[in-house]
Amino acid sequence: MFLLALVAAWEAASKSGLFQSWLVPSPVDVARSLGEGISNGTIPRGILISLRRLAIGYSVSLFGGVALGLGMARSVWLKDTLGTLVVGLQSLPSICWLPIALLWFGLSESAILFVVIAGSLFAITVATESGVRNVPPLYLRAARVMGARGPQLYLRVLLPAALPSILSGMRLGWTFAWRSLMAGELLYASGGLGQLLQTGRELGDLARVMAVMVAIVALGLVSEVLVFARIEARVRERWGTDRT
Amino acid sequence: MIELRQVSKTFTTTRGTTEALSGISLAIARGEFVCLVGPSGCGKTTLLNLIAGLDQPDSGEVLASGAPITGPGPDRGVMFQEAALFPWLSVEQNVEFGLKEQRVRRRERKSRTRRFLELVGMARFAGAFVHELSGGMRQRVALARALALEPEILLMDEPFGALDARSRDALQAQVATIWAHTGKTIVFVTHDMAEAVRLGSRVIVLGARPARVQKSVDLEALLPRPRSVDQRAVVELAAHLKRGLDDTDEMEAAVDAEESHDAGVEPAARGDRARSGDHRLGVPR
Repeated sequence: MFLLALVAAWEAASKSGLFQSWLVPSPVDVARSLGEGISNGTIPRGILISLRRLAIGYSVSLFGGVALGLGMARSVWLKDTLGTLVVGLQSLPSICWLPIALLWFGLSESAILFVVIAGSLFAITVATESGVRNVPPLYLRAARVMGARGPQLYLRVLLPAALPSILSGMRLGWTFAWRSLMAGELLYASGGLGQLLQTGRELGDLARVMAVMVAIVALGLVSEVLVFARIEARVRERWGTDRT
Repeated sequence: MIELRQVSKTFTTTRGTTEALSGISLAIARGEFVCLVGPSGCGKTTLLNLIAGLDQPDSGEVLASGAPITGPGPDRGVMFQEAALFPWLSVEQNVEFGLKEQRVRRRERKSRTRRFLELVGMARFAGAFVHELSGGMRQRVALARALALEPEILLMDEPFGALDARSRDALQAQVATIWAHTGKTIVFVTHDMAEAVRLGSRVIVLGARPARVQKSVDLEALLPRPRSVDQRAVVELAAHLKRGLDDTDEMEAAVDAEESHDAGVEPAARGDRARSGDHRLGVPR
């Protein structure tokens, strides 16, 4: 409802003649451009290329981040050595990794994956670490008296107990990965949604730019609604932590 | 069955060191239901943790069936003050947790889980999540979880301290029944003397930190079962044992269980003749 009103206002603004039409394309133009992009395959192809990069980079970040966070929470040595480094790197905007990536990997697929991983890994690491650190020691003692040891203790107790925190880290990591990817693609990479945005700009085709933006927002919403919100609802149900 | 020999344990925190146990010796025989009573912070939980294998003594030995305890083991089930159930698992999965660790086969696991949940009256809640249960129900599940591993020894650390009177009474009755039917060795830590007297076949009274054995009273011959906390004999004996705790002159005294039992006098009159005795009371059963 709110969205419809917004679109109507936008339409009215673009038709009012207050702005030059090439700066504020009407929603109808954007929709037409979107339809065109979808039917001629450029947008679906861009989505596929971007999502593939995201999937690879994010998977690496997820496993690496959870493992690193777990290690840092349980080992004083790792915490002392990597702790400050991770916190410091986490505050580094992901696009700052791009120059290094380009020098190390050249204009390649690896460079963009590197940026995505560097951008999201540490958010997941930090959330996992704090989650594991906050697991009540009582759970560990209860598990130990029932015979849990070593890897079992990590897999069956520490990780599930830290899941709510890990989940928020995963969410944050996903957002960071997405942003790093778009930034990287905008600046140089071939294919992908970021590049579609860039070509739209070069052609001065604002309707096209906005169409791609709509596609990006839609992807974000879908991942949120279909993946994260569902997982979180399940966790909430189990733990009995209600939205208050 | 369980033996402590000259066990000492000191904890170091930022605020300094605390001597929880200092050269304590104790023997608990197979099939005993020993209640350890003492003021809060007297080291009784430390003692239980040592037997559970969650802690190691600084000096001295802790033995189970003659072998030194080096860590937790499935022969010793533990119940904590809080239920310590895992919130990410259902009631059923909580009970199964230890069985999975012990690599019990699936069918056996399911049937044991079912059996012990039925025993504690929680079978209806097998699929429930922990947050849906009341405190008493959680402790029931925790009891089923400890029993499911079929340990010879059950260690209980003030498991009913946080419950309302009714749940506590029901759970006490349940534990007494389980002990009577299975003959498990139970070590039960509490600060509630009436609870100790109601449940134990022997009550060991510990003094303030570092914990020392002040009295060890064999109850089995004194009080018939079933007992209840408001029964007159239980109340009187509890009051009497408590009096000893407050009276510093009696701090060193220990009631010789055998003597009082043979004399056959009223429990309330007995402690006055208490004499310093062997703290390493064996098992007169």
